[in-house]
Amino acid sequence: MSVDVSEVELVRGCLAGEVAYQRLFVERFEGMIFGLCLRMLSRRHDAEDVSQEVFLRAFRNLHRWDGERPLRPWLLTIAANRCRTHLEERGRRPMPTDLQADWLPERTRTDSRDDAEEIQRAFATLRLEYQQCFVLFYQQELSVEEVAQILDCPEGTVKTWLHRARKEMAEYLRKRGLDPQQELNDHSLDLNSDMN
Amino acid sequence: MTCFDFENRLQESFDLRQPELPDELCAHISHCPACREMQERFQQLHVAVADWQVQPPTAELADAVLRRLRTEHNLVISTSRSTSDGQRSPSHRHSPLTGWMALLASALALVIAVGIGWRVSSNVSFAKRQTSSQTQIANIPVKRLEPVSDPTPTGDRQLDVLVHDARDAYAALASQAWQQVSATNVLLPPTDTPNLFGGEGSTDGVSESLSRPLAPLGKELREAVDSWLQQVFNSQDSST
Ligand SMILES: [Zn+2]
Repeated sequence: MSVDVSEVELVRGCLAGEVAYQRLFVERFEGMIFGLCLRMLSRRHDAEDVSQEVFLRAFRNLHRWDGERPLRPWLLTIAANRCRTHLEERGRRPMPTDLQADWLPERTRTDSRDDAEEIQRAFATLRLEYQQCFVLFYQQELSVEEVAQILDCPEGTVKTWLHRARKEMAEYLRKRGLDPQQELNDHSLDLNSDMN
Repeated sequence: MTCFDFENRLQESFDLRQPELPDELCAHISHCPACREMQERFQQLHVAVADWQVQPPTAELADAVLRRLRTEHNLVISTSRSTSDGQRSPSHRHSPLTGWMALLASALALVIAVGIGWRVSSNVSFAKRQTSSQTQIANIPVKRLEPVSDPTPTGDRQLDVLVHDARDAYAALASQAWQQVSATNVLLPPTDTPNLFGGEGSTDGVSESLSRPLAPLGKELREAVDSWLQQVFNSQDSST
C-alpha cells in the first residue's frame, strides 16, 4: 500500500476494519509514539507496552477524531495521558539507573563522558509535567501552543515548565561537571567533520 | 537590562527556537558571568537534545497491536452476541431439543401421576366396596399432605381419611408435575409465533404472561382431580 495515503483516508480505512490501513497507521506513527513513551518511561519494555495501549485506544476512539485536525497531536495527547497514567500506577518517577541500554543514541561519542547519557539522567530528575513539556517541545518539535493543547493547559504554564526544565537540567549538568563551552566546541568539531 | 529581564528574553528566544542572541543580550552577558553561564548551559542543552535519538521500536509492535485489535474485536462480537441472547426471554436459552425433552419428561411425570392416582382410587373404591360405606368426600375438610401413620385403618371414618389422603397425594403429585412444566417454560411460544397467552409487545411480556396462568394450575388441578375422583366413585358405586 502506498504511504502517500492521506490521514483522512487512513482513518477511513481503519474504521472500515481494513487490516492494511491499520498496519499503515501503526507504522506511520509508531516511531513518534514509542519515542515519547521511551523518553517518559525510561524502560523499553514499558514503552512498548504503553505504545500498544496508545494505538489500541486510538483505534477505539478513531470515530471521534476531528478530521479537520492533524492526527499527530491527537495521538500525542493519548500517549501523554497513557504515560502519565502508567507512571502514576508505577508509583514513582522514572529512575535513571536503567537508562543506558535504552537511551543511548545510535551515534555514540568516543569521549569518556557521554553527554547524551548525562542529558537523560538530568531529564529523569525532572517533575512529570516538566518532562512532558520538554519531550513534546524538543523531541517531538512541537510549538509551545501545540504542547499547551496536548497537555490541556495555558501556554504560559508550558513556558514556565519548559524554562524550569531547562534550568534544572542545566543545574544538573553543572553539578556533574560538564563544561558547556567544551561541549559546544566538540559539537562544532563534529559538525565540521560531518561536512568534510 | 537586569538579569531578570535577560532571563525572560532568553526564555522567549529558546521557546521560539531562536537561540542566537540579539545584540542587547550579548551586551549583557559580556559583563555578567552568571547570565553568560546560563545562556551557555541552555545552548548546550539545545544542541545535546537535538542529538537525542531513540532506537526504533521492535518490528513486532505493529503485529502486536493488530493482534490485540483482532482479539478485542472478536471479544466485542461474542459479547454483543451473548448480550443479545441474554435480552431474549430466559426460555429461549434452552435449545429446542432441551425444551422437547423437558416436555416429554413432564408428560411422563403426568402419566405416572395419573397412573398412581388411578391405582389409589381403584384401591380406595375396592376398600369402599368392601365396607359398603357411604361417605361424602366433598364434605371432608382438606388436610395437609402427611404420611399415613397406620396403613390398615378400620371403620368408615378411617377409610374416609385414607381416601382423602390418597386423593391429596395424587393431586400434589400432579401439581408438582405441572410446576415442573411451568418451571421449564417449555410451553413458551417462540418469538415468531403469536403469543398464545395474550401477552403483548416484548418477549418480557410473554414470559410475564406465562407465569400468571401457570401458577394457579395446582389448585385448578386439585379441583379437577376431586371432581374426577368423585365421578369414579359415583360410577363404581352405581355399578355395584
Ligand atoms: Zn545577568
